[in-house]
Amino acid sequence: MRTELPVRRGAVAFLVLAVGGLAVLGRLVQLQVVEHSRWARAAQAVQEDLIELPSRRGTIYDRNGTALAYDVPAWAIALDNSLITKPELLVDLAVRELGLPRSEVLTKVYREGYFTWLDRKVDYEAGRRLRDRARELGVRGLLFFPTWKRAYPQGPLALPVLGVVGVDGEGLAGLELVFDSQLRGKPQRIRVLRNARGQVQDLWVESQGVPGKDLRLTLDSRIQWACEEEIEDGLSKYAGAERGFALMMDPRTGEVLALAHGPRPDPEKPDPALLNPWAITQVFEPGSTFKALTGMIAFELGVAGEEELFSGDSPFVVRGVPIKNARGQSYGTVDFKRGMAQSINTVFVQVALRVGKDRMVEHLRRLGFGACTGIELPGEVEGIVRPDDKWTELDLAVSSFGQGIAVTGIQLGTAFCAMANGGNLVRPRLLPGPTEVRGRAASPQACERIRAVLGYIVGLQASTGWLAHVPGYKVGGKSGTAEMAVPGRGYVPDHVTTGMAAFFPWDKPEYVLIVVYQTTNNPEFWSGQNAVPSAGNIVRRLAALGVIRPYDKTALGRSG
Amino acid sequence: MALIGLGVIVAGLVLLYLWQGAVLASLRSQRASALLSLQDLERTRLHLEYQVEQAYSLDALADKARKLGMVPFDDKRTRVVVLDEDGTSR
Repeated sequence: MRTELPVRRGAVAFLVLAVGGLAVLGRLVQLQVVEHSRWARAAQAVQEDLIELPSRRGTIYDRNGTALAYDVPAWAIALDNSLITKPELLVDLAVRELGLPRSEVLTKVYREGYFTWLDRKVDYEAGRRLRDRARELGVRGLLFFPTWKRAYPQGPLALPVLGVVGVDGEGLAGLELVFDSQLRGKPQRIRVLRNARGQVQDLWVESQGVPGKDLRLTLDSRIQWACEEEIEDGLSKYAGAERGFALMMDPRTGEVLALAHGPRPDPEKPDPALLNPWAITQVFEPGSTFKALTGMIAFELGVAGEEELFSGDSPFVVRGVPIKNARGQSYGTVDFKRGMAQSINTVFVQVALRVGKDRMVEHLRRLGFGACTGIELPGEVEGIVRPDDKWTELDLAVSSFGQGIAVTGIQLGTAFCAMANGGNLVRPRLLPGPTEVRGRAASPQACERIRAVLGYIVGLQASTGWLAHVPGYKVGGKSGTAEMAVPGRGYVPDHVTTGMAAFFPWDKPEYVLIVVYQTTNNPEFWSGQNAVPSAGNIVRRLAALGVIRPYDKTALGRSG
Repeated sequence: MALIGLGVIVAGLVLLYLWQGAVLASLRSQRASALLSLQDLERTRLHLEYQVEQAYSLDALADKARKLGMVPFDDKRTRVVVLDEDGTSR
């Protein structure tokens, strides 16, 4: 009996241990085999982070490889409100380093929640300073996410054309919007393994991501800059000038070399109204610049000649309606060239009457008016050309000097490109590629003849285009001033559009230049005082920058 | 004896395995930290590149030129020289 007791005790102990061991083993099997995936996920959630880094958006370059817009490093900074220590210090830091309003920071810092964005596009330097200062002061609760911010190394250059990018990196306007899918890449995913103290133990790239594709434009940043400077200068110099644009194109290819709008927007806080490329999205009556096109149509149809005489008296009555010259001035009998040089409306009314309604409408359509040009910018409008069957003789008469018809800047530029290249209507383009000819607007002979007239008048001191004359650069062109029609008020005297449509060298044009200004407060706003000298100044600026060289045996030198 | 020897070898191999594992973990940690620093340096490089390009933008150069007293192209300060066929001026 004495020996049975220890054996029984041993058996009981063994059984207890065995049951306990089996329970532990069973639990281990449950945790590591049956519920393996569940606990693995739980562990992964604690130890690992998946960081998604947005890819760098494509860069936009000009034709010479100068970067106009690209992504630079930035920070998206958030608050983990449950971890915040020293909130007063944090508020002071955020106000000082990020420039945020104190009330906004206070609301965010004292908010009840786990995650609040503080600022999503913080400059790289400012973010680093904030991070370092927070560490030094022992301020916790700030979360820093590396991200990108759109930057403009050339400042606001061509911003209405380039457009802007939203806080999530999506294109909102301009080329950024049109080519968003190419410019935007796919984000990179990085898995980070942390140790018990939260330090990074290992990391590996789960998905490489795809950077956005770059975009190369036809714009030339030097020409763009010269045009923007001149428009900005013009807006400050010409009384009443409120906005303006300058468009420069290569007439042989339709490439847009510059499309400058003023006033310039601030790239840091762009005003949506100033981001609108209104040379594409809005119409205006072209005024007397249109006389050049009327003349070209007349030469094409053989209904007028350079030396042919017309009455320059004012008014000229069409269907009982008197049509006047500017300031009601009469000129007696003048030839076509003088009519162009002094911009005599009544001469061109007679020319248009010879052309006739049907042929005028047909040629205006051939020049691309009343239809979108197809330039790669959003919001392009068709312009306003009366339906073919609604044209009256009066419409024909006033259209000869650019009233009763509304065009966009790009349409006017394209029509002058056709005149400059010998009659081909080319599609204006902002991206390089083969020239797209959309039709034939006039014969090379008619274009050559009208160019000679326009070259002659700019070189004539008594003409309205004289101030666009730059010795050696053979500028040709036509100026124009038109009152603006305001809905419900008709033509308003102090709402005026002035323009200069130019090309150079006039015998074999390499550049077409359109300059337009608008005012809503100056009835004495004339193209000869603003758009024409501006066109000349742009040519001078390009000469000074070395973009263009004199075309005849004349050299420009500086003295003094 | 043989059993003890085998035990020592197994224990040694286990220790070696654990030591190698620890070294590997430490190297991985160093690599991760180096990769993060590299990323930080790359971002600093891009930021500096942007600052340089900004400093050499046409606007910035024009500002510097104006401060140096240079003035825009002006007809009053321009002389026109017409060259003859032989290159002489009139």
